[in-house]
Amino acid sequence: MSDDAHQPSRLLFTATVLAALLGAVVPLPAWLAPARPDWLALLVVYWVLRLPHGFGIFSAWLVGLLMDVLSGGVIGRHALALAVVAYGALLLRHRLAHYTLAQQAAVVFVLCATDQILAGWVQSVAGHPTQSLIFLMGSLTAAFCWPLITPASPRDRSLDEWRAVS
Amino acid sequence: MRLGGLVLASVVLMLADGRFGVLGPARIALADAVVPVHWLGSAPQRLFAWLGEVLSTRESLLEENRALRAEALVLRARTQRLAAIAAENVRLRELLNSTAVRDERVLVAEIIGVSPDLSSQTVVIDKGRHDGLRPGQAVIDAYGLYGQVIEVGRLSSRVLLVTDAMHALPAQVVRNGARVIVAGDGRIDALNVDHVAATMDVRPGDLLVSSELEQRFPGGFPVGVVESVVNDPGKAFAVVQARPSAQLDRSRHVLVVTALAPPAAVEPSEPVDPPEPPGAAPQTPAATAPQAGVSRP
Repeated sequence: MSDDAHQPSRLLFTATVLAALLGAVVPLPAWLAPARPDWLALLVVYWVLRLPHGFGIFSAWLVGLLMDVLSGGVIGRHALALAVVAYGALLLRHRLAHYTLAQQAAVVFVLCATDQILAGWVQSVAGHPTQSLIFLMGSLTAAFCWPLITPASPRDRSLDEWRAVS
Repeated sequence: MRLGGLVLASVVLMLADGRFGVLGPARIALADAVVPVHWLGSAPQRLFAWLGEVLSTRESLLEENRALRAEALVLRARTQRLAAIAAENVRLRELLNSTAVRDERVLVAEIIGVSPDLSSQTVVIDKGRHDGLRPGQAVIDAYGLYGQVIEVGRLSSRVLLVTDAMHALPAQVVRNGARVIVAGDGRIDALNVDHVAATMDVRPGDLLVSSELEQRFPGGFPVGVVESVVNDPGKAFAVVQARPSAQLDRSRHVLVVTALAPPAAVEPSEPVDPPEPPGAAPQTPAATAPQAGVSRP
């Protein structure tokens, strides 16, 4: 967290994007790989909730493009999926403010699953069929990670604004 | 509204890249730009490897050294026999008027990134155009055929594994030379052997080696071992599954086969001299003279 909670620094933003990209591509053992949390969807939901007017669909789309280049699949699929996630998070952000952490985590699970299903769907159209629904494990672990990274920390002033508008 | 525009942009990008392949140069430039992320991503395993080296005791190093020396001795002894066999092979091939066995040069590369997608199997290696890599070059590890280079950046390349759903290669059963096609199906530990007639002699335990038929892979590298053959009378072909020989999910270093000149390309291909009109003859002696000197076996 930055000291200036009202206006998180650019540095913090860049650092989280880099960390999420790293988390998304760092090699994992084969047995652990399906459980890799969907860090990018988490990143998008986090920044949409924290800075709904600064980080939007287009930013999420750009982050997705970066991921497409990194992962080496069809260019545009993560971009598409993350833009949809950002859209969903923007729609749900007022409602999320009233939710408990568990309910928020459930919504995050649905958003992450949207991301993974969309990206996986494009990939299977491009000739890489998915073997089973095990890839949704990543959404599940992401939902479990949500309470750790939620922007709803009590001292966060942006959260107060967030509550004020909702 | 904005979402609609971005969705449209994504679909256009996906079609341009996946269907028409027009984003090739951009992909390569972008691949170079993200190399640091791959490098950072593989930093933990580098660190552990380094720590393992630094923290190992003198005794364990000596022990390892001894084991490696013994292994080198055994391998060298085996190579001696191979040299004799290779010479014999060349003689026999000459008797048969067959093309000579090609020599391969290899380059050691380290895997710095693994595709995070469960459905696609590619890895990123730390060698690129700078080191003489080209798309289509075969990649092997210590145990067998690993895959092939598909994208080459300046300092890194992407390798498609033999088990990727988009990969297939011609292979031969070592026992009887039967030709088969080995295709990946997306699982890291399985290969499908396609279009095996029910009467074909393929048994569990058979070793499949790469074939040079496609002129892409060096011949004779182990691809996989047949695990199961199921003959279903209701199907036109037997269902044959194999286990890849290469350690696809464990290798840290791989070898890229960089020099694999097709036999025809060893000598420069020159057009047969067309019958020239007499008037043109005085102008071309310089061009035809070196051609006459090329001996064509």
